[in-house]
Amino acid sequence: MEVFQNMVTGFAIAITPMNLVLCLVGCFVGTLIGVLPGIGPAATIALLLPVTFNLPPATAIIMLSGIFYGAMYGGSTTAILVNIPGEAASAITCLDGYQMARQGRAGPALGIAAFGSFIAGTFGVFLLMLIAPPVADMALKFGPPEIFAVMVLGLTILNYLSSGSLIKAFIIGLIGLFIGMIGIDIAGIYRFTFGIPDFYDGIGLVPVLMGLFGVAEVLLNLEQIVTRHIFETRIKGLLPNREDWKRSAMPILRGSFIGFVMGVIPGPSNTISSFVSYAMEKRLSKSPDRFGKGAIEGVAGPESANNSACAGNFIPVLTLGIPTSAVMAVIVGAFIIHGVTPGPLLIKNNPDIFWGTIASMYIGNIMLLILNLPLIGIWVRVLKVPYGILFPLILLFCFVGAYANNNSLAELNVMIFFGLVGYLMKKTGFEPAPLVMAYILCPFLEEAFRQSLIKSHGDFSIFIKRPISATILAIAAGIIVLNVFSGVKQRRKSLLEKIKEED
Amino acid sequence: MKTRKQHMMMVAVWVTLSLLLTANGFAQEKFPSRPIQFIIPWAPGGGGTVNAQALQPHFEKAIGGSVQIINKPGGGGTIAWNYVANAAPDGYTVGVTNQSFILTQYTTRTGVSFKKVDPIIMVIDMPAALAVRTDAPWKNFKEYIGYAKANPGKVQMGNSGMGANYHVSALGIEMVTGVKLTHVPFKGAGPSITALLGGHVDSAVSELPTLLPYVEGKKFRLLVVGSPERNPAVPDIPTMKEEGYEQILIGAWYVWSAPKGVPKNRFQKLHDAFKAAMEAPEYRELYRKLGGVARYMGPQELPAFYEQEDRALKKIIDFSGFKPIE
Amino acid sequence: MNREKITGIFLLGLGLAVFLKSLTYPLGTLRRPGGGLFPLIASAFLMGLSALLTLQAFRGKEVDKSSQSPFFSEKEAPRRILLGFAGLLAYRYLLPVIGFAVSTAVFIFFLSRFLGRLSWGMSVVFAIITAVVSYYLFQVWLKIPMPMPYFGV
Repeated sequence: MEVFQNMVTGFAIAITPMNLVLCLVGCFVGTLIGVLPGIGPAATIALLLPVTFNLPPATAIIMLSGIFYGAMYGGSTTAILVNIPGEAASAITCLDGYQMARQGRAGPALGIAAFGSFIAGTFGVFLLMLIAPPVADMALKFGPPEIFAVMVLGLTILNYLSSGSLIKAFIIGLIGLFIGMIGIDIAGIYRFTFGIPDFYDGIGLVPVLMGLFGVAEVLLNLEQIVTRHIFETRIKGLLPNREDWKRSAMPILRGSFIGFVMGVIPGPSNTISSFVSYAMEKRLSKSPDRFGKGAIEGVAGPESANNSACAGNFIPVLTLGIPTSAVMAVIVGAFIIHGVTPGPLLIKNNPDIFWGTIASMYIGNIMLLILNLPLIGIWVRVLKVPYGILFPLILLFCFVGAYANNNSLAELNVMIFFGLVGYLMKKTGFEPAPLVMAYILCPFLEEAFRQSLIKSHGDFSIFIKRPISATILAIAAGIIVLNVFSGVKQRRKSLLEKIKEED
Repeated sequence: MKTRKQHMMMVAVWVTLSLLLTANGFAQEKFPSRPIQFIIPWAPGGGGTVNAQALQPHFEKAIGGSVQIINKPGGGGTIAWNYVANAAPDGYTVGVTNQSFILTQYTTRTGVSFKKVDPIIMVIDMPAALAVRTDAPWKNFKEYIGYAKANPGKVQMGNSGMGANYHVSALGIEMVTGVKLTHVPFKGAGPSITALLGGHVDSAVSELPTLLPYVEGKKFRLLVVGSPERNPAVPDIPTMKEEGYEQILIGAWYVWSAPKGVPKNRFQKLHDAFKAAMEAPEYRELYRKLGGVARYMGPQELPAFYEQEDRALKKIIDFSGFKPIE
Repeated sequence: MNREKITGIFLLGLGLAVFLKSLTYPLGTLRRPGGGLFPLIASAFLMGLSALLTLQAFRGKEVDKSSQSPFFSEKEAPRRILLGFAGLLAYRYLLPVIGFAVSTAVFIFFLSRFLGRLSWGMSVVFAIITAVVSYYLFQVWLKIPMPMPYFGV
């Protein structure tokens, strides 16, 4: 088979000593910056690009890609340990991962995140290898109406992202939408910016995440006398046990699949895929009330999804030269600077880069697993540090992360503000996840909506006339109907029970 | 009563403090003694960053210092340009400007007048072209315009943002040919190209380096180039003048500028380092492959160039009636 | 006036504010939606849902368990929260004035002494070590351009 031949060539390139070493360097750096919030893979790859100038192109790409998917491994670490997502895609891991850490189960959480990422990442690369071109063509078919449909689908699962009341989930989601509208819109007008130039492109995702998850959590903990232990001190095992694996097997599988499919779609697909995976696992679970309190499925699914999404991200880049996100755009820039033009001819003109990169992604995933597993022991020890010393460091961490994001002091204000908001939210029964989801979706949702209407000259039927968007919207409608149904069913059940009681 | 020791202490403290406070005032320091900041108004990975990265190694060697590439995206570039225009004129801050720099005075409330900066050097000129897919019904510019004239508003032109460089270029095409297109805005050049690839818009204007891979991959067909002469990378594509229309310049040039008032010797050093960098063979080779022209223009001609571009762009803006809304 | 009622009314007010502000942006038509349309629709929904929430609060129906627990879990809590906030704001506003390294030291000292219950001596040591390490890690090694104070440290 042709693919097999190509992979052999690819591996031959990937296992040369220099490529192996630099793959490791990339993965290591990636993990590091995944742990550090605010310094994302895009900025790091751009920063390290000059370092690669004297390297052959294949080696450079291998190293830089390693940074990217390495960051996905690292992002879950801080999400689990201190409720701060290192990457937006790990935000949903905070929900159950952090709770597991509070219960002394940080080890299994980190472990299942690592293993799940590995399985999903490898699965993703496998698919990338086999079906890249046809999948890329399919991705191209996603124009404004289709993207709108996908975003709508994302909104319909809002209520699964919260364990509180339905009304509050939607209210907080709407607030997330508003925050997403701050800044310039596609017609060029500035909305809700109050004349602050730093907000012209929005208030930034990182400060909002830092504030809502990190700062708010610290403030909540500060209420108690800080000499008390926030984390359960008896560490219950360092790795996932058999029960954990049993629960996580299907989520990992499903997550891998969802992540890969969504990774190909342009937009914030890595993040959305992890949220969708969470919602799916909650829906399919026999005991959904465990979610939000430390259910390991809530870690296994999303972490797998965001890793296989990385592989999906590469498909449009390697086959068509089009980046679907900011990080991919930097990688495309890296190609260009090295004199390799990414585009439809990449596989023909530079097969060594194409197959070498894919092969090194397999190796990279293995390296990352080996790198992250022993670290679990160290991370778990970090939690034993008295909270009185830990929390100033956490706050410092948040500050550096929020500032480094855009070198903006105004974003620090945003972070502090959302720290307050997050604190109040927790006190009044609102959860942050729906807000984050809506915030991320909003720009794409609105942009796609308006672009579609411009294209169709105001004709709304454009969303239904096109097959892909019609299908996705139908699924979204189906989910809404399902929700209403089960809500009605619940009400009827409790009504019947009440009647029975009164008898 | 203060003892001698206390007096000495006070003197020591004052001396230290004044030294610290005036450290910056020592103009005798070697230039550059700390990294020079290259401010890029767009997100990393785009043309501006690529240009900076291509210049960086040779620039550093020529000037004997290091360079720090800082991306300050946002506001259509105005955040970065405001930053550069207001930065200390000590020679440590330079920023890259292109047509959008001139445009944002008219399209946003935060635009910076080009008179507020001192242009140092033009390092690259990337001509742009009008592209359609290879399966489009129009084989050349005449057919395209003919169809558009007969069907006003039917032909969809993707752009990289309302009021951005290529949107204005598309408006310019409307101005000189008299057609009416439907402008579909996207967030940046990348998505607009993707939309063209996927068939979601009929045409798009973008610079040659971005379009060439798809032309070679037989996905796009170029109808006309936006430079006064034909481009060596695509010698078969005519210019607008050849097609019988007034030539509007469509493309992207990069001019590196500094805040007004940088001391003459430092300004000269920056200029010479940039010049050396753009003459480096690797730089030329990179852009030759991409279809860019390493066109040089120095600080003597650049202010007039800015004025010329300003006039041309303002003409189109006035024609289209585009106004910033806040 | 319990928590739920206040929350509901506040959200209602927020929705109204956004609604009114959206009206000042061009609404466009459904054919060519302008910048104000989306916020308008979303804020309308928000007002509707928060009205519902407020109504339920006034009728005494409990939407969830959050209002059952007391607002502040301990007596000392409000003071500590305020201190925490003061610390955050102080750090943020000190940064451009005295630079990253010194501000960090002050910040860490303040937090660990007044909220972390570390002794004076330990707080100082902790603050200095953290500030020095962060300076080298973030400003020198990772080259993040931190806010520079007047006298360039």
